[in-house]
Amino acid sequence: MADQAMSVRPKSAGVLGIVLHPMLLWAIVLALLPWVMVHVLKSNIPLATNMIIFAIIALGFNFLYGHTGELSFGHAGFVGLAGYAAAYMALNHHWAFFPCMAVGVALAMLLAFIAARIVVPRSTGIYFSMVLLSIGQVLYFVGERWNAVTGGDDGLQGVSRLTILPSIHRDFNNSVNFYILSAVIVWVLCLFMWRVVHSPFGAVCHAIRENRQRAEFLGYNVVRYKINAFVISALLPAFGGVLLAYYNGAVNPGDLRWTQSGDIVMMTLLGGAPTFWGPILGGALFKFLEQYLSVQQWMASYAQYWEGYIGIVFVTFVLLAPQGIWGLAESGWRAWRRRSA
Amino acid sequence: MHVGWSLALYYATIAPAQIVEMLFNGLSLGMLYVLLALGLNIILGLMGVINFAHGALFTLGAYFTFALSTHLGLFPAIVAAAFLTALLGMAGEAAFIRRLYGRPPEHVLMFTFGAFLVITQVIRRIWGDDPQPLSLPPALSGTVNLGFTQYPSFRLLVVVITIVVLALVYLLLVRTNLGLTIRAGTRDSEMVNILGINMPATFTLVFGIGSFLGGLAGGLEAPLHVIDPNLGANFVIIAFMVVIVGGIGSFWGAIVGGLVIGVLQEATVELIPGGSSAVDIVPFAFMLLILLVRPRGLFGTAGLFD
Repeated sequence: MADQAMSVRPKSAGVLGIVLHPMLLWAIVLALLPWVMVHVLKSNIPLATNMIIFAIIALGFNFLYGHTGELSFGHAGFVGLAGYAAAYMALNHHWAFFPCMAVGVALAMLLAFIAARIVVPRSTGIYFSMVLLSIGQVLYFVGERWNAVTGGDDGLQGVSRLTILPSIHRDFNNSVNFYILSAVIVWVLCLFMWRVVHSPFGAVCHAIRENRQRAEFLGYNVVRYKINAFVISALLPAFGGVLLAYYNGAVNPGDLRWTQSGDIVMMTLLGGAPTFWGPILGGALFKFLEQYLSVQQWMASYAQYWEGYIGIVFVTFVLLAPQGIWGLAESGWRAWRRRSA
Repeated sequence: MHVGWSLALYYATIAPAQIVEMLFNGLSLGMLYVLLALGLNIILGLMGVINFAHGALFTLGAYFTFALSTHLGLFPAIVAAAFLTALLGMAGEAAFIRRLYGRPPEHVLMFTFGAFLVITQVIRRIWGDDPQPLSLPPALSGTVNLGFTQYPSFRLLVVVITIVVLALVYLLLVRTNLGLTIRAGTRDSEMVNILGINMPATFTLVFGIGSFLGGLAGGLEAPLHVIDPNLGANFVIIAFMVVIVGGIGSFWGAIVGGLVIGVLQEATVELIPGGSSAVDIVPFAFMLLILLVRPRGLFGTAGLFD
């Protein structure tokens, strides 16, 4: 973690710096992913869309956990709230895609701001996790019971992708078109997150994670920084929630449940919480395995216990490698470089 | 008619006996929360471990009771199930959770969340998804006349047993050497360790006691519900709220928190028109309210786990 904190500023740009910029490589990965999914992994493009959506949900969540040091067990609430709000406006007021997205994200931001103002000054550590869990559960029960607005158990069905950019005459029910739209949004949000993590603000967040007291002594208003970090950490999950609503064509209360928040935590830790790319890898890998294993023949009678297998993998990582897959790869790469140098 | 008037009329028709019944129902529901929360709270107070797997242990207690009751009869089965659950909890602590004490507190939280998923799936693998009924012995399936209401006799017995168990836990905490170690360790376990007490062994034992209470709660609840693999998941989240409302590490906090939340839930159903759809939100909303005025809970000590 210390290495990560020290290398907050990207090294000098130059032509090579731009060509090898991680965000550019990420754009290439996003462009190649559908081809790899179809031709190499024999899977499908909708799954690729699902993977990159969860990649940004985990990435946003990790700004609070991996970069600032507070574990939230309620981030599914922000995903779900944004999705529900967008779906509600789309179904009841027939708003187009982007206005719906704006409303969903704005509402989630508002909730995040209010929650942060209430929770951050009062609790940290495991208290913080539990309080966020309860805020998420309040949203879950509202989603499940407020039939008139949320559709209760059934959720809101029939969110149409035909309202997406009707002016450019593309059919977004076509999975390739929807993937391209999602990938563009995902890439822009990742770029935003990259800028935030590598900004002076991000550096202060890292300082708070490493030693809250020392950051305070240096004169930083820790509570204010954490409130801001909290709000930022809800931004990407909110966008992810809206994209999910259009991806599934529906929202349902299961999206809000505390175990869904637990999934986000698992993705992030498996991928690698102390790194920037870890949660992106974790979110994508988690969704890929979840769906890929469920259709494999040799898994036929066992696929229903998926949560148990991922649970075993997860606890193994917590015990032996809490830096996650990306963290392991980074330290392996560093060791290899040192030996060959 | 004006809403206020109709509400006033509504409340005027509630008989005192109905209020007493409501309180009693609330307290008996709260007793379950107390039993679950106390097990969580002892572990949390001493070791700083939020045990997500507690809900899975609760479910295990119910299934063990279900499996053993045909051979042993209901009450021996409940006791045996609680002891089995305690053994599992101790094994889990000694094998895995012990390795996480030096780590950031979130790691053990995440570990127990993973353990919760694994145990739940193992239960599904063994007993399947279909709800399992557990019938009561005929002597206990009737009702008792309490003067103000006819009350199911098994539910009454559960309340009595819970009170006895709480008293025993209280005596354990204040009258025995182990209790002294636990109370001192909750304040500063490092110091107690330096004084020559075998803290690792105490941790394992306390994890066993906490798991025992969780399993016992599951066994006692088993005949009152249909048992399914997700039985414990919702109860345990409420138990978390009880712990936070009462204050981490506090015996009386768990009791007051559990009973208050139980009564509040019952009151929501009885006194607020349409309240039954809001009943699940009550513990969470109440917890957030308490958090605003007392961030460490009703009986919590400042400085614990900051």
